[in-house]
Amino acid sequence: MKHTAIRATLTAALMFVAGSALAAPKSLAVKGQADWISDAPVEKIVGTADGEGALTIDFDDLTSIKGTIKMPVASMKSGNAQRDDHLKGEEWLDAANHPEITFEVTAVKIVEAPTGDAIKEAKVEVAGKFTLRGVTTELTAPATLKWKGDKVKVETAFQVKLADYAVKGKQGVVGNKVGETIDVKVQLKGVAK
Amino acid sequence: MRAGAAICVVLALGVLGYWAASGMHFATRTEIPPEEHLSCATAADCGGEDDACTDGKCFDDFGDPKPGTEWRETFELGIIDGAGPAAGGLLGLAGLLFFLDRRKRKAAAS
Repeated sequence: MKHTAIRATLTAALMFVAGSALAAPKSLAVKGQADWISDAPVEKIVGTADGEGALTIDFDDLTSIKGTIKMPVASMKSGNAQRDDHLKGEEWLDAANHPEITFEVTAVKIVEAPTGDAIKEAKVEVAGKFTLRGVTTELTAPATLKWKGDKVKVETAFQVKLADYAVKGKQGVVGNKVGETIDVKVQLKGVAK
Repeated sequence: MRAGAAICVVLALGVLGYWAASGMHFATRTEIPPEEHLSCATAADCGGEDDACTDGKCFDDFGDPKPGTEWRETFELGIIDGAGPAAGGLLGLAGLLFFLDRRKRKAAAS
């Protein structure tokens, strides 16, 4: 009788521990690309940047997602070497002093609950601290999360207003040859472990 | 001299025509962005182990269109750093040659 009770207690404890471990947030290293577009009256510039980040994700509670996404300024390309050099220069993104653009996820709100069987998909709203050229602002962006087993894909799109981050460029260029607002689209993939 | 000026004008028009045919870019593009939907002949061209190649286009392991990641080399002349200075220089030279020719003709006539 006593042994049965101990066995039952141990089994329950093990199941609780196993359950907690299964539900525990997993670490997720993501990698991908950001596409950005500057659409100004004189010129439309299309560019890319590399993106990578470390997140924690609990598939049962997407609101608990935390982590940081980074984009090295040095990886930004626009198809013109001279323009790329200017882009990284002090007047623009100042890569020497601010080598990374970062987004730290602070809160996630579910917009559409997960659907699908083999491939799950959820629409969320991600809020966080976006840092560009050393200036940090609060940013909220819609995002789509897809996962298949432990494989995860994150897609988001948002706008960056250059004036908010003290990106002035040469006088008369922003709003003329470079858009006042840059459209950014990010796609990242990784495996949760 | 007049023939030289005419050649310069034709060359300038050629440069501007090439610029127009290249897409009338403001700055010269030496690379174009990766494909929005990566082309493929076989699934191996798509890169990822679970990617699929359907109708010549890549789809990732989530079944979504897969974008390319590699910039592709090109040369598309821009107006500010290529066609503008070149055509301007040629038209300036043509103007100078016309002017010199006219002065020479005037001198010869008098």
